[in-house]
Amino acid sequence: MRAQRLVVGVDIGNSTTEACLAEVSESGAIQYLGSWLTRTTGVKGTVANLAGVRAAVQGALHRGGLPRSRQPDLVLINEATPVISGIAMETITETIITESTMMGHNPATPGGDGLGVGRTVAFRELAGVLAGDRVIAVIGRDVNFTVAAAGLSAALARGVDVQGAIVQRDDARLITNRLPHPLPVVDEVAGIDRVPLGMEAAVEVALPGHTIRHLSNPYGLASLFGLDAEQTRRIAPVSRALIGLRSAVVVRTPAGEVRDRRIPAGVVTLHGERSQQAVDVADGADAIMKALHRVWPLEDAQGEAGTNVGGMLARVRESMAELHGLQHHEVRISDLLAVNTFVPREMRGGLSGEFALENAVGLAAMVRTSRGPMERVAQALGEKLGCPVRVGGVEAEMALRGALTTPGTRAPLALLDLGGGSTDAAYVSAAGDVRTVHVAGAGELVTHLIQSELGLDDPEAAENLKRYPLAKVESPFQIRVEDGSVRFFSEPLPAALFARVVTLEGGRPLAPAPGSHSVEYLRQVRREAKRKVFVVNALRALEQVAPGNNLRLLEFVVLLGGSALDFEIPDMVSAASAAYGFVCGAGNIRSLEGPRNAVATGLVAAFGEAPYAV
Amino acid sequence: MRWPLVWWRRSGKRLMPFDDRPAVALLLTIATTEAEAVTAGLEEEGIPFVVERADDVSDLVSAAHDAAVRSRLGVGLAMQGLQACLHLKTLPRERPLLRCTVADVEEARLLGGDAARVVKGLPLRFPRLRDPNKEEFAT
Repeated sequence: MRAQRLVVGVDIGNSTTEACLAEVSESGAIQYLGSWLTRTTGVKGTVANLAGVRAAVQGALHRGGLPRSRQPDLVLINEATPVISGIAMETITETIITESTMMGHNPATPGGDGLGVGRTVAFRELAGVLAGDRVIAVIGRDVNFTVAAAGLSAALARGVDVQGAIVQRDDARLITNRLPHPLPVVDEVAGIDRVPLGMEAAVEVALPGHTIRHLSNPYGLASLFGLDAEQTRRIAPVSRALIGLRSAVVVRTPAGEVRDRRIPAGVVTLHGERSQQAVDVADGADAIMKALHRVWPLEDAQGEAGTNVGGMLARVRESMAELHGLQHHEVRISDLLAVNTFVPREMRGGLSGEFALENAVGLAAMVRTSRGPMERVAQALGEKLGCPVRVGGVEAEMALRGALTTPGTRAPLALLDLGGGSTDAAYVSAAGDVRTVHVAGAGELVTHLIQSELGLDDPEAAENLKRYPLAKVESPFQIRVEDGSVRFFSEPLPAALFARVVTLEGGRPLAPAPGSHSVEYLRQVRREAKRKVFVVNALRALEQVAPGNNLRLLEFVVLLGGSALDFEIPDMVSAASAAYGFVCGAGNIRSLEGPRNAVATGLVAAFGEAPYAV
Repeated sequence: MRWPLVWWRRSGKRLMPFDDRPAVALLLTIATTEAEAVTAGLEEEGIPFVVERADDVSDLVSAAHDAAVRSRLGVGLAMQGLQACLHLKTLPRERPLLRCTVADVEEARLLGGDAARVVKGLPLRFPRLRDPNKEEFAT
């Protein structure tokens, strides 16, 4: 028996494979040599993981100052319960504008200021309007601004009471600059062909820095159009939709209105040990989580066929069944998390791409099986790698051992693994008893929420917004970071970034944020998404492993996993847990790895305690 | 209310403005519909501009930079036919903000608007800005 054995602990995760290299003596004394991290190849728990495992082992050897070709004496992998997670979003409200009754797209450069009320008249018909008639001119893109201004001026000179204009092109100021006196003009109306003609309409434009006063007030509309109480009540949603805008148009059509409609989103049935609850997704996340609480512990869940949620739950179940050769009914949804969110959607019936923030529900679900196929995987890996590969221990226990290498910790200890697909908690008591739990909702859900709330097509853009702090490019040479500090550059930034909000990596602009939101708004969306998922789930998971399910009985909590490396998530979780009195922070494995490498380290540490057991 | 055209007068070799208000300096060689669209873009965004005439411009980028230096707002736009260059006083002479061939009147309007948006601190809308992913940054 050789005195020193070269041992590598390998943690095959859903997204990353981590290795920890050490020399272990006969007596179990461990000398850690190095570590490495690489992308997991294939689905976790299959022989496809080989490439990732090999890369991780070789990387660790290299870091330890050994040749990559060196064969370790033993590779230890973790027994992991495979977890498959899924996410679905359901939009549950819809805003519809009927009869093209209003325009609330808030163009950047409206013309004039004030309120104009009159009958809508197409520009070409203006010459036929009688003197004294009050009109609002409707001007399409075929009319050049000089021609438009000339036509309006001529009508005014004839005595026609032109009170305002609705214009398709971005020409409002060009037109008003050429009139004898300014008129309120709303421009950039893309759907000008659908503006109802021959109807009473009101155009209002506020001064820069101000908002409209009449059209955003239901009694203002009542005064302008002579409405009675019932008619005012029906038109109130129109004025509400125009609150806070600098300009707007309302056309008094026979039955035009703005309608908020709840979209039926399907029923989710939650099966508990002793009861079951059906809840409509359209009732919102709080209703779903309340129902979950009532049936707790969750045995299974089903969604209605044909809905996003139903489809997702079925897909997740099918993936697991296929992967591990199980029947559908053998796979159980073990947890779900519902989160209230919103989606910017174009209003139906809008004339100029008006957007409304519709309510939505984000749902994350998780399936788990009790036993993984890691023995088989270990054998196959051993054959391919040419050295012994053994299952070294259960993932949660290994993670706890690794966590305990963080300075300042001792058992009883809890850990939170903030991953991509699930949030996991584990607790080891002073006596060595271990409790673990996996809850649905983690990094991927955060990205989804950011993507949904900003209306982004590209999930990578959402991922960037999640991971990196923001800055506003103020000039070609300086950016103002979200914390207020300013960074200067000696080379000018490209024109494409001018005045844009950008994400920063290492202090340098990475990419422009899509859309035209402010730094403050994007920051708020980002932090709220992290709070709704990780702060909620941290407490939810810890509660299930804490002694007596009481968070106040926890003493030390260590945060691990990819999301524990995030620049603000660990702080948010720590701040939120202040009320419960436990020590909380990102782990620092072996005093140098930060929140990484816990399981891999734990595998080696466990081996050191019983070097002849394997 | 109109934006008046302002002419520069030569005093020996130096150009002296009649009107010294803060304005974007727009240097033109010929009056084209595209040039008119550029002025429309500036006017719609509400930023004053001063039009200068030149006979011929050999180095458009240099001319744009000179115009930017003359402009009290520090923004200069030089146009020769469909060739255009948008420059800032603060940028190095050989690295203008935008250097392009305007495809049509619509793009010219966007270009004028962008000259104003630089002053206002708003993002630019011109379609073919340099790709930030291909740029190098120095800290």
